[in-house]
Amino acid sequence: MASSWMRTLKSKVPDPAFGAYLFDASAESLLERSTDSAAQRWFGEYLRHNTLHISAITVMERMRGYALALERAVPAERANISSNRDTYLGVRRQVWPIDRVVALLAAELAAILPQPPTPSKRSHRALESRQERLFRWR
Amino acid sequence: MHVSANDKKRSTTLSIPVKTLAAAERIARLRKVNLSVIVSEVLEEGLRAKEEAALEGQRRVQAWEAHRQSFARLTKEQQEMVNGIFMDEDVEE
Repeated sequence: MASSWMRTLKSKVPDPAFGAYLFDASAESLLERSTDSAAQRWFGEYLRHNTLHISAITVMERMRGYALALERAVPAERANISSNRDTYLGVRRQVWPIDRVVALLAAELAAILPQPPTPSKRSHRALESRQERLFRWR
Repeated sequence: MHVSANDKKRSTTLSIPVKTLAAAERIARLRKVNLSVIVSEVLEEGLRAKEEAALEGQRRVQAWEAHRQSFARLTKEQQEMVNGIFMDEDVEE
């Protein structure tokens, strides 16, 4: 799936200088993990021209992730996670508020997509819950 | 008397859109200064803003790269949790 996304990125993605664009938590996380040089080049060029725009929901999602990761980590691992949260917050962003109109439209979209669009993530004996999948996708 | 590079002046010919030139002339008249003063001020401000924007862009790239490198030091499980993926339920065998 990642490689097909990368193909789409290479063929259809707009000029980064034409931004600014709004990035959601999935886009941010993909760009954090991606080792694709074209994607990194595109995003580097984007950041040279534009601020990173995100919504208040993305801040909430990312900070929830860090808070839960810190809560579940053994004490020795906490400094590393905490330090990564600091570097995340060190990237200057334009954070857009969620107002009444945005909330109303988000509610309509959530009703149209009652099921998460991808299956649960699995790892050994652990499975991602439906609630977590819905939270991640919304 | 010492004249710094910033104070040195040179004449040149520029083609400027009529509307822009008219606006600059209006401001020069209101402030009772030479048109060259207004053009120089605006040009300097514009160049400073461009330079500052380029530096700000560079700072954003560096901050993101620092974050990515720090993110790569997390374990795969920690990366997933940070990205909102939580495996909570035991899979029945």
